[in-house]
Amino acid sequence: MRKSLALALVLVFSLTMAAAAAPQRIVSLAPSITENLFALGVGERVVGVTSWCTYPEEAQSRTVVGDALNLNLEVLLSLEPDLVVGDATLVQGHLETLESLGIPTFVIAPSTIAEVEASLVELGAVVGVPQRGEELARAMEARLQELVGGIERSFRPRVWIEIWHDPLMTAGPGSFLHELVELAGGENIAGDADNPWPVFSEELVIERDPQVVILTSYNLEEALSRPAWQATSAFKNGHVYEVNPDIYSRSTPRILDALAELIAILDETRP
Amino acid sequence: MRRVLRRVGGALFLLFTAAVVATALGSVNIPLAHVLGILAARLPGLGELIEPGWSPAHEVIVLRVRLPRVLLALVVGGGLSVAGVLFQGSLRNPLADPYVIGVSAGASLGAAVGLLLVIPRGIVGYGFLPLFAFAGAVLATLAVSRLGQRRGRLEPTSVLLAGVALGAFLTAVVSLLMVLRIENLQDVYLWLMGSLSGRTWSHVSMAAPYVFLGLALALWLAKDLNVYLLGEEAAHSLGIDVQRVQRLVLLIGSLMAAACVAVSGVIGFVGLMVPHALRLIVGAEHRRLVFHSLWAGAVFLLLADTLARTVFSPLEIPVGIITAFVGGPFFIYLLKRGSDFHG
Repeated sequence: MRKSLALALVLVFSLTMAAAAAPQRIVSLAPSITENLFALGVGERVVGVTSWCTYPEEAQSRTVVGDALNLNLEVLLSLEPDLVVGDATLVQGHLETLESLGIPTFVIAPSTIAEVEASLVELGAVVGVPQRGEELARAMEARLQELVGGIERSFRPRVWIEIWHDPLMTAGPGSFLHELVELAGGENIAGDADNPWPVFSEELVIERDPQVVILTSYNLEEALSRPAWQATSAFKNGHVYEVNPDIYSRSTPRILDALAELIAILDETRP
Repeated sequence: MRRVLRRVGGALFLLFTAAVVATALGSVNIPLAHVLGILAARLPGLGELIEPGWSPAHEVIVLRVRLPRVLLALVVGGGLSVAGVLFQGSLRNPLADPYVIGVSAGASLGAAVGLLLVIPRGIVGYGFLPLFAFAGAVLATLAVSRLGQRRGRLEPTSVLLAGVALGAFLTAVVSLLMVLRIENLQDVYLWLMGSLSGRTWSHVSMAAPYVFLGLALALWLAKDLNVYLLGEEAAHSLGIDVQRVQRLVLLIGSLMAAACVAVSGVIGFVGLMVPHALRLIVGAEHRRLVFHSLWAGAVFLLLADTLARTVFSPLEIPVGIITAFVGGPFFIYLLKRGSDFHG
């Protein structure tokens, strides 16, 4: 009896401590982090964001401390943050500067869906809502299993993912887009590239004859007018799609919306 | 002597005032009284008398964000301008600038190697970036001064051509690296544009010694450069070892430019324009030219950087845009006026 009372006291004490130590003024340096903080239910405590943080809409009412490249240190410091969360795949140099100024920083760098789930758990723990983080991660995993469970695997359509048209840039292994295509049961025709954002040869695209083309920079009209591409299966059968790049590249639970969309797209190409 | 003292005093006063005004400006509105208080509280003897009525965040902004950046703008602006005087003087070519002998291309390659191949692997941190750039700049400079020799003698035209050629080659290598190693691209891009944003005291202490030492040596060599202006023959007949002076001046200029570019990235136009503008105003005598280029370049870059961080606040624009945008028209005006003046 006494033992459990002591245990309960310790529990209450540590919970209060955790609540007291939880950061109250958070600055996010990436759209995905902003989105995840709101998903974790601590949007109220987010005081600074980047000009790219468009989702959820409420995030747009926060003070802007910079964009994807530049950071306004003065504005950031004037917010008196007790935590700055950054993504290491964006500009890492800024985070080192902040640390040297004595600002607590936390860095996440997810590059796979499994790492997104792990980063939600970590982020939840750091901002003092560990349970919520684990819930989000579990929900993501459950949805992922459900989505990929029903995919017909006997036929793997060849997919060309286009990040940019000039230079012709695609998504290779190490990028979310590559992982999403593979998860959805497709075959990325640039799957043999050695980096996540390779510049790719147009000839090779034609030769590898994609059955599906995914465009991520709102250039459907331009793409459809390319003479050499008319011979590809994707163009002949009308399987050229324009998608919203934000959900396909941001390391948030919404990336599974992208997966669901991609599965539906690939389904249309199946005989 | 008194006139010299008055000039130096005047320049110091101007630099000091400009620095205080720039420190008081920024995207966060901090009352002038607080800015002055924060600065004064750091002075020995005065600190105890001042009651801090400002927020700790404002103190951090003034002392650790704005002040190092302001001082760095002065150091880099002055350094690039004096380096420009040295290059134009020793190569006797009006188009020579601090980057002409491959400094910027070498520094860019050094920085790109650091940002794309070394830093992402976690071997060293971003604090080492200036060292990579500095090493690249110095190596490129050494290569150019070797390539610019003919029969053991430095030839201005060969130096310039070698600088242009090596610069083009190194720039191509940077572009190639960027295409092949795309992960850390934002960092490289940011560095190549040149900026004083996010710089700390350690950047100031890296660049300042080279600039001050270079300045002292430049003033010491000014007399020799003046004679050299009359032509190589004349200088030789007056007992000046032209080769020695030329090599020394190039070396000093390169080290100054390398130190500046290492901490700030490539900021164009300052080192080309400021010396020319002052040559039109104060004449070609080198001691005077070095002195006036120093403070004018310092104030010019400080002005440009202050505009860069306040005009579109809270977003910042690369300072190189401002130096060219403000400097270009002013320079053209001076050239026109100059040509009218000379008939």
